[in-house]
Amino acid sequence: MKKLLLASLCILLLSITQVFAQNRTVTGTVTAKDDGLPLPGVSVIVKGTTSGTQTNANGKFSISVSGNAVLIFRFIGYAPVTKEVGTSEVINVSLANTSRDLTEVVVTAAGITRSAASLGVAANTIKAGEITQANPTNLLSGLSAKAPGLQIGRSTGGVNTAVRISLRGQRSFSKSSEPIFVIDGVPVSNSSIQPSTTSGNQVDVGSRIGDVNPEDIESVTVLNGPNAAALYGSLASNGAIIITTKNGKNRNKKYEVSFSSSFGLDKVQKLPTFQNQYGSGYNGEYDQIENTNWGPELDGHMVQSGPTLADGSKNMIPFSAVKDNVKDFFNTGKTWNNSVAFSGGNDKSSFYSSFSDVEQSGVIPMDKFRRNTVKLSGSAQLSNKFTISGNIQYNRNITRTSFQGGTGATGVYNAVLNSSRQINIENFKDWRHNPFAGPDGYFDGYYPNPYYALENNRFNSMLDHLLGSMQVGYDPFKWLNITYRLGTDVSIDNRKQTFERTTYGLTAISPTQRPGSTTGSVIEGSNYERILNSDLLLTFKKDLNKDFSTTFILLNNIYETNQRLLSTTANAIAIPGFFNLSNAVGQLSGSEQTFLTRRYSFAGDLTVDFRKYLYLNATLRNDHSSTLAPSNRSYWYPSASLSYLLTESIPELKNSDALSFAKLRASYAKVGNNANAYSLLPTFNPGSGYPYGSAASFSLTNTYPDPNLQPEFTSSYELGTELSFLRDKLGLDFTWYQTKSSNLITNVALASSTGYTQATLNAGDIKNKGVEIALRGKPFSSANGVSWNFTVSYTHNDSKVTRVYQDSKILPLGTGDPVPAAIVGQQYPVLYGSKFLTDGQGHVVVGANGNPIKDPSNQVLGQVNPKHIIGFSNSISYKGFTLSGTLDYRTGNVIYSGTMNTLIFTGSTPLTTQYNRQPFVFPNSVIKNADGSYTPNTTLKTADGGFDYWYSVYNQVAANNIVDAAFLKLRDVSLEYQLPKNLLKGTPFGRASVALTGSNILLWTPKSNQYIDPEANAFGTNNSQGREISNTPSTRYFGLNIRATF
Amino acid sequence: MAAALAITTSSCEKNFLDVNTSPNNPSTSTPELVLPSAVNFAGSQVNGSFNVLGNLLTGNWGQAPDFLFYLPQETYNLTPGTYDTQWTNFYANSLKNLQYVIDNANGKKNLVAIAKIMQAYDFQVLADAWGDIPFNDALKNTKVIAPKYDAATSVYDGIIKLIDDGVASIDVSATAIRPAAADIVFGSSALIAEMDFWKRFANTLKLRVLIRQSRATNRTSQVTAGFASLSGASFLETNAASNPGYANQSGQFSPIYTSIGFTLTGAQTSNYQATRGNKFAVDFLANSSDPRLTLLYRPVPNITTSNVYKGVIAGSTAASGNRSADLSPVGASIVKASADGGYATPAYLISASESYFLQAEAQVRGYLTGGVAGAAINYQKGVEESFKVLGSTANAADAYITAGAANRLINFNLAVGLNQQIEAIITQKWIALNGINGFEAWCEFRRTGYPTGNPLTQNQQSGGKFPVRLPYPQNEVNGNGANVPKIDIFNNRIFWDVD
Repeated sequence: MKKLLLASLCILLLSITQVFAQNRTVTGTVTAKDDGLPLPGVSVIVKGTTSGTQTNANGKFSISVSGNAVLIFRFIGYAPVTKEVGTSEVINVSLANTSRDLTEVVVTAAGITRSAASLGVAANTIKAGEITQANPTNLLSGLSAKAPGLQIGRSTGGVNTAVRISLRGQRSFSKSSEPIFVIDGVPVSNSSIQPSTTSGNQVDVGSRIGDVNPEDIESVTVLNGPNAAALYGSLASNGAIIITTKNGKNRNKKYEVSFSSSFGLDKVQKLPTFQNQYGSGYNGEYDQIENTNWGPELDGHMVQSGPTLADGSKNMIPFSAVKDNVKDFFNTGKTWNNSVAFSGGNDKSSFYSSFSDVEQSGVIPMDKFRRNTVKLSGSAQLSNKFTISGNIQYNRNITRTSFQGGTGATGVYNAVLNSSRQINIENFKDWRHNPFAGPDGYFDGYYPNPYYALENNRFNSMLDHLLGSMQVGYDPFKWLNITYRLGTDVSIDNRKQTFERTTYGLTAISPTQRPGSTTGSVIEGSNYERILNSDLLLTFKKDLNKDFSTTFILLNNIYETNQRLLSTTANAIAIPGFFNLSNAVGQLSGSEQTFLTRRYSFAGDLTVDFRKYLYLNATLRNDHSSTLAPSNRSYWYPSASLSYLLTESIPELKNSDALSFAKLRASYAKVGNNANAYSLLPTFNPGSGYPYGSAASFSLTNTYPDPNLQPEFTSSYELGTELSFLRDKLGLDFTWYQTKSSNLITNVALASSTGYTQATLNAGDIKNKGVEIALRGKPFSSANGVSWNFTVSYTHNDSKVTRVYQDSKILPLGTGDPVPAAIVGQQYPVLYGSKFLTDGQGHVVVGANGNPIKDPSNQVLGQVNPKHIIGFSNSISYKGFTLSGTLDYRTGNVIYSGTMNTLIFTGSTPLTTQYNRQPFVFPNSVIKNADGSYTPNTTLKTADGGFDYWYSVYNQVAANNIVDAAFLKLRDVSLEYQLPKNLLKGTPFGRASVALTGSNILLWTPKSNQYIDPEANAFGTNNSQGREISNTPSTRYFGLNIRATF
Repeated sequence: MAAALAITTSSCEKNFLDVNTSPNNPSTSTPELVLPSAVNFAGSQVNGSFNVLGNLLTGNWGQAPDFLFYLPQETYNLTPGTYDTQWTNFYANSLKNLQYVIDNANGKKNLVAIAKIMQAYDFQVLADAWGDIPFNDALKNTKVIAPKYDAATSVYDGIIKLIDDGVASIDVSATAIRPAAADIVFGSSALIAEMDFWKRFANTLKLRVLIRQSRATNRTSQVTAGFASLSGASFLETNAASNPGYANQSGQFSPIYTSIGFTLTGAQTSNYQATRGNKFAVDFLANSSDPRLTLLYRPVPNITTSNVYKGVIAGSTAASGNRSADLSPVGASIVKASADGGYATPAYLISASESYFLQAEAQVRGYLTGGVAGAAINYQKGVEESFKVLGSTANAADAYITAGAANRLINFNLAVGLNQQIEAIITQKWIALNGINGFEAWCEFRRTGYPTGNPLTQNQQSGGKFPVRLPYPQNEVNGNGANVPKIDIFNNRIFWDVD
């Protein structure tokens, strides 16, 4: 794909070369060695002259030569070939791919392309084929483990789930820690607006980058640190993900239709381990309506389950464990993914157009998602001096799912986990006709039938999303280019959430304990988001002398974000099953929120190139932000970087086989970030419950503002090297970085006795340092034999909170036990919560009744982000077959598992049966003596061995639900067969391939994690991570994919 | 693309960036608009979660054994997180906004009076629940980010001063501005009556503050001076309750209905099912043939053939016959059904009954004139008002007293000596506060030890001790840790809790 990306650059270079008349014509075709396809845009130059030409769309060239000329064929990404013409009139050449390409360009800030060699910072480009290796429906999932420094988290196994990215740790308390996402030069949103701010009634609603069709992607460049992205300003302190779409820049490409179709199956991957010894009840006594398993041993005798119905009928079941009852609840999810693209161009214009359709059904019954995308882009050279290009992408998502998370009546997975061990959930599917499955007869006295919950409480979303940009370039002089680009990202999400009004137990006569009735509700919402971005760039190029050349870019940027969230709620409904606001009982409640921010900026970017081996780049940017007070609105920040190509500068190394390439780089950058909208002035909220009828009341908000808020800054140092050995058989990239973020704009939690619960202030410093290493290997490569490529990447980030605010040492990010928090001296973020009291040597202290004692103060329970991330991708080809796979390993972090908490509560995990529900001596515990010393406890047993211990004592301590989050995943696997060319001869197909793909095929977790896929997380893309609350389990995917071009 | 042009051109204008005024929330308000919500927050705490807390700790209510709603209260495992929200509601949502009213009143003296009296009310609840609390340094936003804790005794002095200042600010002159709708306690009355109610409220509050600390060490001079100032004062004869207009609308239920009541469509909430009558109070009322039994508790739902009242042994384990539906729910006079307008129950701040029992105690202790004879009258009125607030009548109360002539906890004249008189007063006050203001009952239980026999929960993990205060909340531990006193909730009593 490299060759296509760079074709336009070649044209530019060649258009200034004059062609002199010669006396003989030589023709020929240039093809690529790897696939035999013609290469358009290859430069063909007569050695020792300035005359030359380039190949056309079919790879053909024609050139006039005189005498015994020598032709040089050059193309970016390929080794140059020199041919003596001799007496031949036809010269066919095939060019071989090189891994090392000094003229390869990388798209950096504001659509500026720079040669990779000149970059003084870490940047990794992931190409189309690698992203779509396992046919992900979400572009970001396709990036997992494919570049060093990249940490990708998927939240759940639902349909269209959100994917969260972070680079080099987190650097902000109150603002997003996600990198900036840029599509074709336009910053876009990756927001994820959750339907609820609490853990109940949640839906994984996906995030906006997930709307992009992965097949439309040309490449993704990961700029790991603020250094690379300094020109983006505010949002770039977390790095940048630069997405280049197939946008029709590929002139002289033959007209082509490409088609990709895949079908895949999703299966629930990791489910908790269950105990099969005890059934429902309390204290060893059977209880027919009990959701928890603290009853007697399961012995197979017949028992009544659930209430007796009004007609006297009873549901009799064997009192034996239904081992796979939870697993049986889940369906096999299905994904159909079809896309077709049309592209082509001549030397003046090009276009790309595509359509895609993704249809998913989830592992939770009735969960459905459908996404259609349409894309049209094109570019044209209007005259010698103008170029124009445009890009429009539209998609519609339709999401229809049930709710998850939380412990209320609507959390489907939670209801499944609350089915007792002797319950065969599948028998309760037909709740409309089976009286024992309906609200009156379902066995559980406290939770609804999950099938009833999922069918009657629904989340519906219809999202329209438009990404569009247009760019005009003008080259009035050889040394000046003027480019203007305007882009927008608009999405409108119309949502309807419906909750059924249910009365339980109308006809049950005994026992009467039934779940609490629900009033039903309807929530109509509309979320509108828009980003508008305008860039004006003036690029000056000047060769000062034969050693020095310079490029200077002046940039003006205008950036506006607009968000409007509306919702109307019927808090109860009159007629069950009729979900319209008109069916409301009581008043409708509504809310309206608008957020508008604006920023304009000026920046300069100077690159000095010394003999093509030493590059210096310096930038300076000035932002004016609407979210700061007029006196603080304007702020400046610089960056500088140096790139030195050792192998180019030292003649002895130039053609060395041992060290084929060596680059050293260093950089410094500072990036400023503004505040959130409306953070400067105190405001009033409607008082709780107000207005009561005509009576209004307002209350001062509990956030105390600082009208003098300053921008926050991140400064960053980075050193790195890129080395290549043994003619590129082995490569090593190494980066060391350190960032310091200071004066972070923070919502500092205040003691409420100040009158406020938080204050928005400049407070808090975080340091991050780490290394990113990639080892690339190509031990074998032959055109027809075996080729093997691999990349091992390693990422380690060490963060430290160095200041929170004044004397305070802890800043909770949200609420709960545990709560993610920023704590001075600790990694950011850590989970902070309750744990058992210990004697200082790790022995738990038990009280006089034998129960462990809860530590009166909260403690740090572990860090949220992994300490070490290792990715290992492999690709082995033989003839037309390619087998690729990616392993992903993370370790050093923890996660709080709400699923584990629920399973201890219900007594469903083997943890609760290890002492056969009897009081036991807490292992390695101690007793505190009167003098403060400790004596090992060998005899004193816990007060209880059942629910009163496991729930009332054990589960009251957050630390007991903390799980080691380490994992090893076989992330993506694909076995592809490329049909040979001769087989396709005579067919309309240019290329065709078929592939078996899979993702998340294998998962290894530590023995202690019997509960969840640790990649699970609280919903969305916000900073409050590290907790899982009965999330839908993750899935493994198997698929079949067919691709063809014609 | 036209929009873009507009953006580009307007960037030259100065106001392009002046878009940072929130369109979502107003940045100005008035004291009249701020006062109602500030008072409502106090009522919500005292009648909502604190009411539940007090009723759980004084043997009135218990958790249905098959529910897990009150684990901290049932195990006495009260943690910094348990009442974190309530602390915040008092300081940030009530007291701060009352301070806004005081600071921005602009000569509206009656608003200042109400705000100061309500601040006194809030601070007393805070000091009674937590002991030493921020007072002088409190409510100063980021100017004092770590407010120092003042001794509960000096908070009490501050409360008396707030009451005195509040009363002094009452203005019923012809030119005075009537709070009217801004006053959600007495605002429906004409100005003179309204402010007279506030004066009585202030006096009764002062009486409560003085009685509470009357036996504390080294408080004699303050108590004596305080009572001297109450000489000839008039006290509440009606229930003082806040009511912003509670309605059957989402978010507009009365606090008790929100806490343990019903849904918008009138169905039982899980909280209703989880909250049951406590065996101690149910048996106490049944044994003394108290007609209030059927008002304070509902019959057992599972037995439909007759009205059976059965309380839960707090902390007991679920078993057949000992589940929610086998036990008496909270009564129809406390949390009325939707059809009976339960959502509109006002939030009682100080009940008339409490006012009379306070006066009775002040008289038997000799702080107010009238002596034991006067106390007997106030005692009877207290019982009558208790019956009335539950929807019964004074006559029914008198009949109950007559029938209980042999019981010294009913017949005040049978109580001999100060101790027995106090026990009768406090025991009757405990019944009168059942479901109305459980927190006040818990304070009085801690101060006096009555009602006698209030049981520990079976599930207590405190070595047989009642908690005597609340642990300091998490937000203070996190944000003001250096100042938060180190206390033990089982042994470090509030200063007025002397035995």
